[in-house]
Amino acid sequence: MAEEIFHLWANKVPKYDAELKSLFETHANYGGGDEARAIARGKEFEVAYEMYIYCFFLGLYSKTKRAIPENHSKIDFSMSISTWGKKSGRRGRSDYFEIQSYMFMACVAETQTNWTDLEKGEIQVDDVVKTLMKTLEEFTNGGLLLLKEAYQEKPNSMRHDSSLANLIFQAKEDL
Amino acid sequence: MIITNIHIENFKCYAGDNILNPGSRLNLLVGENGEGKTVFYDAILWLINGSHQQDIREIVSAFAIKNNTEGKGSISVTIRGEDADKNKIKLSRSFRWRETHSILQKDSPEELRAFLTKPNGERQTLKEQAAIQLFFPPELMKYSLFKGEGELRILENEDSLKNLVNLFSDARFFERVYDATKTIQGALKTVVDRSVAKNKKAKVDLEKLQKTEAANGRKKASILNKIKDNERQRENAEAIINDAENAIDKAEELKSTTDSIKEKKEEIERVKKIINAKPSLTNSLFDDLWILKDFEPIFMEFKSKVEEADVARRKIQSEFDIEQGRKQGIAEGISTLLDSEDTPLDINVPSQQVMEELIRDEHCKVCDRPAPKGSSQYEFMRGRLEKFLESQKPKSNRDIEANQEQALKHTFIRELISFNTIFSQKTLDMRELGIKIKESEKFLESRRNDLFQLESELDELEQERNNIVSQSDDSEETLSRKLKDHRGASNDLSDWKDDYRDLQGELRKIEEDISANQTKIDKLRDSSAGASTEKNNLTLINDALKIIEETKKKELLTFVQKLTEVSNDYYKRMNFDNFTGRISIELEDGKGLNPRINIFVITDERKMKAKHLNKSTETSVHLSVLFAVSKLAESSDLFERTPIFMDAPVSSFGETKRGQFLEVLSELENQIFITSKDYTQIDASGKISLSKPLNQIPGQNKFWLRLKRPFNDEQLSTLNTEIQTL
Repeated sequence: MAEEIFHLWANKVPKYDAELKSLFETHANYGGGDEARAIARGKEFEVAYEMYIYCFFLGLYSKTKRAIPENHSKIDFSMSISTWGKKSGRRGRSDYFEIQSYMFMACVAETQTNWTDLEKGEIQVDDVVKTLMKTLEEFTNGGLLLLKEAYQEKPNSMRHDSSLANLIFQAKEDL
Repeated sequence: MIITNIHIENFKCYAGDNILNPGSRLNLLVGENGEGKTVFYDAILWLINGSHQQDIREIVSAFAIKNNTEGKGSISVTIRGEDADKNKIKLSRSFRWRETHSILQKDSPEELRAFLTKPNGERQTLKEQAAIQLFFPPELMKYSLFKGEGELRILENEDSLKNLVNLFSDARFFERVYDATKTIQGALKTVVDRSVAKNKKAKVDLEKLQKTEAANGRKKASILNKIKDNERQRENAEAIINDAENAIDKAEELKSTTDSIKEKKEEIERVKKIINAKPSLTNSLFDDLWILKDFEPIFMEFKSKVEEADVARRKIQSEFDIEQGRKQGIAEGISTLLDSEDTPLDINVPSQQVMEELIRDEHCKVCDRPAPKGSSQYEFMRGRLEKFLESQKPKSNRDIEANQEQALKHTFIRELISFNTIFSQKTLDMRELGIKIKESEKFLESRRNDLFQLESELDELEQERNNIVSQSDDSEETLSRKLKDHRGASNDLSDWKDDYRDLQGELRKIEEDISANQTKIDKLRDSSAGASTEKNNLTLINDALKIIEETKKKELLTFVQKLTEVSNDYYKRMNFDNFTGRISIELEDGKGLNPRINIFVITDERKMKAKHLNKSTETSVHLSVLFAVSKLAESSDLFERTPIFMDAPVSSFGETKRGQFLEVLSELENQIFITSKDYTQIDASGKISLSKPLNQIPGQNKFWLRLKRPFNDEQLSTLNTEIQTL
């Protein structure tokens, strides 16, 4: 079987700015546990990667792509994208394969790649996957910064169930 | 008498000089609990009654003591007023105090001083009690000073109402005449009986009849006592029954409200379940892919990029294939097939299944043209299918060798194309997401509105249930106990009523006996005493007494009717738009000159004593009768209009009723001082303010009694009330 670029990409573990770790800790059920635990702890996101996905789309829609500063260290959840949203342990929730596909397509759409050079073997697939991951991480970083700002500006209203949906729906309209 | 000025100095929480210049009609004094309303009333009571044995620490302002550097000062309450003849009267109670070594004592005797200044400037000292009576006539004092709703109950006291009636009805004129006539009757009887005694037999007979008269009198008194006792017992049983019947109404009302509350709660649970069954909006972003609502432009970007790459790829592949074909000597064949296309499609496009269908149907469904057998189009399709089938056969070694040289090493673009193919079909879903989200939000919003509506209805029902319980003065347990008591009391009442009928029979019999005995005595006097002026006079006096009794009773009746009428006028106004029945003030029959007077409220053929009504109705009955008394007192010319002081008299009234009550009060011509806590509020930070704009507070003269800030409510010496004229 020929190797598929989607799988090469999905098997990567995306990183984020270590400076923003507390944002994950505050708003996501960081460090594992099931959804019931997240609800009990009053977190908006049941798992940290959900927040990651959310911030990626938030950055994407608002066209906020921010490179993680060179001097900041990068960390991750030790989970490759392909493992995000697996059905087991997530009662009543959907599989995320489709979301992963859309994220991948978005990365392709937003990354400058010479695909024919890649097809010809003139550039390395790993390098392309790296640039795709960079796009993913930069949009996510942009989204994280926007979310952080929203929590700082309206700490109380952001606790409403509809606030995260409203924020992301508003992102495109605000452009 | 109109009070023109009240001056309170160092009395309880009123430190320093506090002056209130009231209006001649309604004066509303608002203030929070514990800020000096009742103390204001107490100051007036102290002026009237003095300290007696009261510890002076209880009345001298602790604030004044603490903040007085000399360790001494004075306490006083003074009122100034003007009567109908424009005489000015000043009434003042005061003493001086001194604190030495933490011992507080009077530095001068407590004095009540009163002066009257005539319009011509002439000034005279008044006697204490006389001066008090000018402001508060003793006959009316208990109808003009009230602390809380409880004190309004004075009308339930049998004597209070009787005194009142005697005071104001014209029946009072017969009182003295009646007493004098009775004395004359006694004297005449003695003279006549002395004349009868001259005849020995007649003397014996008279003595016998007089003994029977005395025995009958005792017997009658005993029966009357039993009747009184029976009435008390009946009243108790009736009270229990009334109470219980009231409670039955309330219990039925309570049950119906409780049932509605239960239904409402079930409905709320149903709606909550619907709301909770909907995933959270955040989860929907992922599970229902709401997060893709705005993804279409991104996808279009992806599509365009991928398609562009694919065209480039195919071009490279095509050029390569032609080159390779030529090299292998089969280029001609391929070029025949492919040369016409700038950038050939992949050989698997359209799919094998589609191509077979097109050939079978002899129709190119891609360009929608017929392709009959033998036509160039038909041959093109057949050739393309054959080429595809050929490409699927296992390759020979020669082929593999020939293909060692490849134009493209990877198939990533094809992979991207397959994403494009699959997800192109989903763009419609993305477009519909917006509608779906809106519908879902609308649905949830609508359920939330339902929930909000249901919860506010539940609040109202719970409030209603609380009102039922609080109006009945009973807890729910007490209500059900009362229902049980009802049966016992009904049986008792039936017994008491039987006894009462028997006693009334006995009373009638003894009265007949007394009357027969009296006739015998009268006859004996008539036959034995011989003709004399005294005898004739006695007959006249007996007739006169009967007339006086009848007339006084008639006068009482007239007064009571008038009192009832005026009371109902106030009662109706105070309960405007609210069915509360009507007041009935009734004289009891068969009680001679001073019959008992009862106040009832009649509703729906039920007759209840005021004390058996709910608190706010009871209070409005009492207030109505009091206002009626005040009005009748005024028209009797016996008294000048007297000021009325009421401390929180309507705490059980709801807002509407309170408004109606104050409206009635503002129409009264009396000078009224009424305190109320209903127009102030304290916010979370402890700041006190008026709960309504000033113009929405009823009354022409409004005052705000409030403690100066800051203070510590556990330290008396920090409390200092000020009177603010609004």
